[in-house]
Amino acid sequence: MKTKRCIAIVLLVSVLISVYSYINLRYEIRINDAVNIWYAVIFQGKSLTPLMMYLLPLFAIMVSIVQFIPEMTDKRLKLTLHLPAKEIDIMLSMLLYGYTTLLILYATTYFLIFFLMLSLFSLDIVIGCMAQISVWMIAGFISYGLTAWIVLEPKWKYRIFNICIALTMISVLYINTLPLGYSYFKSGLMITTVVSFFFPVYSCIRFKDGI
Amino acid sequence: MNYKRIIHLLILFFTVLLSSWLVPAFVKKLTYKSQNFPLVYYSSILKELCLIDFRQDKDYFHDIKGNAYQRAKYDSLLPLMNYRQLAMNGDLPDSIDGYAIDVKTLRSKQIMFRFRPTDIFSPQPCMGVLLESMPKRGILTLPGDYFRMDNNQITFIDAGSNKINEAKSSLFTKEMKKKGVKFPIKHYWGNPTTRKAYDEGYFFTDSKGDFYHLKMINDRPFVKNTMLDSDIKIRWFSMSEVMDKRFYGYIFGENGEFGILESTEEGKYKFKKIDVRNIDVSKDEITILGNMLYWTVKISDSKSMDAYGIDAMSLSAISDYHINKEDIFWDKLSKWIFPFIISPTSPDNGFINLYIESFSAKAFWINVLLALFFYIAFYRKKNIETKKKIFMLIFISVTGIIGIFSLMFVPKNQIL
Repeated sequence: MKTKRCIAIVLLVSVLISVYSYINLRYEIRINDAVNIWYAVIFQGKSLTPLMMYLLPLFAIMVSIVQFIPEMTDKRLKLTLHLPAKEIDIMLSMLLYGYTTLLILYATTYFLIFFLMLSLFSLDIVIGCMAQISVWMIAGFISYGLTAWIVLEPKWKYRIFNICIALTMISVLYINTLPLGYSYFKSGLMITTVVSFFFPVYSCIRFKDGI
Repeated sequence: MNYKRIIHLLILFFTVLLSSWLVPAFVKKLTYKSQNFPLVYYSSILKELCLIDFRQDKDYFHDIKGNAYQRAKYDSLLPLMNYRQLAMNGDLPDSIDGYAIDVKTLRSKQIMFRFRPTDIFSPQPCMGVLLESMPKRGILTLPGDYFRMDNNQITFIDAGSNKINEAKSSLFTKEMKKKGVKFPIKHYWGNPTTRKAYDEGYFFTDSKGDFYHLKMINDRPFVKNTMLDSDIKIRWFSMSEVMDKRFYGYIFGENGEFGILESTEEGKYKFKKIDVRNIDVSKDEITILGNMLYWTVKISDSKSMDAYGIDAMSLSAISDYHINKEDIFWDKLSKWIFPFIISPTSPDNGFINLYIESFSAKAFWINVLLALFFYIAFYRKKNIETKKKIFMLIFISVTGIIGIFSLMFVPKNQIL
């Protein structure tokens, strides 16, 4: 319930940004001619949805913060961990909720952008754009897990270390912004996404052990 | 091993992976000094390759035999490189080697070409643009549509309406098939810019491996088989519309051949090999500085450089020079302290991946000493299980300084 408002805001903002990206591109096409905009996209690496680059992981971080900070500040997690269930099961159910929410959010944004862009550009160009957005969405999934890992860490010293590790991990997804730049790193991205899902469990274990 | 230890090990592993990128990168930033090869240029006066590096030696430059020449003579001894300066000063000679020279001729014969492995190994444009090769107003403009090569046709899509131009697609596809093109096209190469003197369209290889020329003349297709398949198997082609229209571009063969695609007087195509060593497109960087009489071809990789003075007409080598890269402080330091350096980027590849930049067995000796030191200083007397002590010994022996750095970031668990 605490995440309801945040999810609604994030969904609304992502829809608005998607529509704004479309309107902005239509404006650029009217001013500069479609042939020049296509040239910039195909040969000069112009992004169709540059605003999504940092917004997508930011949405994930927001959902994670809204979900897990109250657990720590209101000491709810302590009570939750006293339930007759393994901490890994408790954490996984909380994380699964977050990941599922993000999946629905991102899927909505993905298909909205896909169909809006397809009305302006050929499928070849749109595929490149969606490949670019997919990397940012994966950055979002990883950011969600790593933010939970940071928030749930009981000691501030290791929270700061976790922030450093998390920032380094996510920065790898922003080295190359060209479409299809991560084509040969798909397995690396998948492994990192799966692994980041389990990092918060470790913080939870440390929290429960009272370290 | 329970799931707690597995997750701890996963965190440790990823921290080591990231540290093996970041820590060497940071140390490199602190210690690295630029180590470029000198500028190499074939002197038409000295008839030898010259090495020019005024950052290292402000007052002199040298030829490959070691002779030194004063900087004041730089323009006059390299007239075909510095013709603009000589012309400004009124010192441009009337002729060299019996050939009359003037600024206009020299400009039209100038060649500058650079190839890097990332030209091949990076995301390629998803579509092409076929310019009008004989524009009515004499300037090149974007045609309004872009093409892609489908499985059985070429498809032109109008940018304004975002719709397929069926008539143009059909016209070009029919002409291509009439000239023997077998779809799907394996690869195509062009120079998609209007900032050039003229346009020669695209070259492509079809499914049989035949190399074709495609351009648009007065909105109609021009398709011609270059008939080169008997001479060379093409790995890559770099289009280059030179001012004197002598050739179309540079060909890289499957077996390391490198040369130009010349146009003949009969309108045919000819592969002319440049007399240099075999090229490995995944590692070699190539620079060509050419003038009306001589080309200077420089081929370098991470370990060495080969330079050639080439006769501009025959493309045969008349001088050559080899130099190995010297190990600088960073190279020596990294070999001893980092057993491996991992990076998500590579200077020879535009794609993100896990690249092992270097691997050094020397560093393992330091790691073993470090592991023993840590064992004696911290773990010998503590009440820790033997298998955990062994794990730490092995961990520090393998990862060394990077592993110790990573351990600082990861909270202690039952493992330590």
